[in-house]
Amino acid sequence: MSKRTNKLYQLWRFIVLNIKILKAVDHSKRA
Amino acid sequence: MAKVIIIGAGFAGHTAALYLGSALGKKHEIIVVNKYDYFLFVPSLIWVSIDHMKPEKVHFPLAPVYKKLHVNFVHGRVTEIHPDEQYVLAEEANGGQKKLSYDYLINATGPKLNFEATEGLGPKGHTYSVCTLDHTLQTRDKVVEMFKRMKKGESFKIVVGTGHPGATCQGAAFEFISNLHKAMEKEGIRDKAHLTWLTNEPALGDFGVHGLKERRGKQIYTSEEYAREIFEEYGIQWQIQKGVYKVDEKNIYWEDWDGNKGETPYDFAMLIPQFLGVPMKYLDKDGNDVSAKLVNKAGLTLVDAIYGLPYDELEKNPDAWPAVYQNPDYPNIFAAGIAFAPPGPISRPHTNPNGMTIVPAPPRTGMVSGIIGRVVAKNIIDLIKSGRMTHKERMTEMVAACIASMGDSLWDGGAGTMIMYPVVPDNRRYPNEAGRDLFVTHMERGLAGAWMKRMIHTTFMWKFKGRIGWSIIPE
Repeated sequence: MSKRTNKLYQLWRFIVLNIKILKAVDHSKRA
Repeated sequence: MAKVIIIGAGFAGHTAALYLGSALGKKHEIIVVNKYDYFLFVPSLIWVSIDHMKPEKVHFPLAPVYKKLHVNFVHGRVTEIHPDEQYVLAEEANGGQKKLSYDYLINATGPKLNFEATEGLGPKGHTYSVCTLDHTLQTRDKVVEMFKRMKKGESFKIVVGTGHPGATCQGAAFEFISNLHKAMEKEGIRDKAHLTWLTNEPALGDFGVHGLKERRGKQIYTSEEYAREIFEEYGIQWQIQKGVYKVDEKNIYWEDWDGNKGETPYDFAMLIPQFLGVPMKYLDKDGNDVSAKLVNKAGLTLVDAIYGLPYDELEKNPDAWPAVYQNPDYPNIFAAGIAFAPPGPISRPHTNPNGMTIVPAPPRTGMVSGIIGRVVAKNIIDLIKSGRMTHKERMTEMVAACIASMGDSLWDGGAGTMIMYPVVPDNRRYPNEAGRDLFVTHMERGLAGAWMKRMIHTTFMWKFKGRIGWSIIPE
C-alpha cells in the first residue's frame, strides 16, 4: 500500500496539513 | 447612519456582507445586490459536474442569512454607478428598477464570463463550462451521457483547459480533468477516453501563479514536476503555451508561443473563458462617462495598485499590488475578489510573432477573494467608526491554500494540496528564484487532501450560512 492511500499515514498528513494551513491563515487573520 | 452597498454575493461580496452585517447591521444600512438569490459554493461544482454531488448541496438562499445579520438584500443587478452623487441603479429580478444611495460601495461582482472573445466557445457554442451552476448542470448531463456511451464501447477525445490566450482559473480545469479521470477509472471506462490538457500556461504546473517551488531537504521540488507526475500517472497528455482563438464542432484552434497555428481535435471540451469585469455604466452628475477613473479596459475596478509597469519592473515591486483595494479617484468605492484590476499577470507573459499575448491572468481563488472581502469590510467598519483604515493585505503578503480535488471518495479519493506564501512572489523579501518562502510553500497529494476538501466544504457552508462561530472559521 502506498503512502498516499495508507489511512494511518494519511491521518497524520491530515493533521499536519491542518496545522500548516491554520498557521498560514493566522498571518492573514492578523492583517 | 451610514449606507454600504455590496454588489455581488460570491466569496468576496458575501464575506464582506457577513462582517459588515454583524458589526454594523443593527445601526447602519448594509445592502447586498446580487443577480442570483442564492449563494453558490463554486469549489464544489467540480463534484456536481461529474454527478458525485447533488446541486442542492452547493447552494443556499441568501435572504434568510441576511435577515439574521440585518443586511438588506436586493435580487437584481446593478446597471449604473453614479460616483459623484453616490447612488447606483439596480434592475430587480422581478422587473422593477431601484435607486440605492450609498456612503461606501464595494464592487464584488465576480467576472463576466467572456465566451464571446473566442469564436465557438462556451455553452452557446461547442464547449462546456463549470463556471456557474447552470453551466455545471449542462456539463454534468453531458458527462453522464458520455459515460453511458463509453460503457457501450464508444471512445471520446476529451480536452480540458483554457479557451482564451489570457484565461485564468487553471486550478478549476485541473480539478475537472483529475476528477473525470478518477470517475472514469472507477466506472471501468478509462480506456475509452483520450484526455488532453490544453492551456495558456508558460510551463506545466504554472497555474497562473508562476509555478511553485518547495524545498525538500537539499532538493527543490517544483509544481512542474508535481503536475507532470500526476499527468503521467493518469495518462493525460498536455499541450501548453497555447492561445485558443476558435472552436468548431470538431477542433479547437490555437496559436502557440512561436506563432505556429494548430488544432486539437475533440469530442468533448471544457474550456475556461476569459474573465472581464461585469459591464456597468459609470456616470458623473452631468451624465458623462467617467469609467476611465473607475475601471480598466477589461472593466475591472481600478484600485490602489501601480498600473502600467512592464512585467520585469512589476516583478521587482511587491508594493505595486494593492493593499486596501480602494479606488484612488473615488475613495468610498472599493473592489474585492475578481472585480479588482490587478496590476499585471503573476506568470511571465509571452507575445508570439503574430502579436498574440499568451499568459494566464492572475487567479483570485476563493481564499484570496474571501481575504480581500474581509479586509475591505473591516476597513469600511473602521472608516465608519473612527474615520481611519487599519487593515491591509497585498497579494504579495497573502497566503493561499489550494486543495484541488482528484477524486471525491473519502475512502480512495485524493487531492493535491498546495500552500503558497505569498500568492504573488515577492523577490525583495524572498530573494530566491521562486520569490516565495520555500519552507511554507508546500505541495503534496493523497487521501488526506480529499478529507481536507470535504471538511472545507462543510465548514465553509457553515460559515457562509452565518451560523454560530462563523467568524472563527478562516477565509
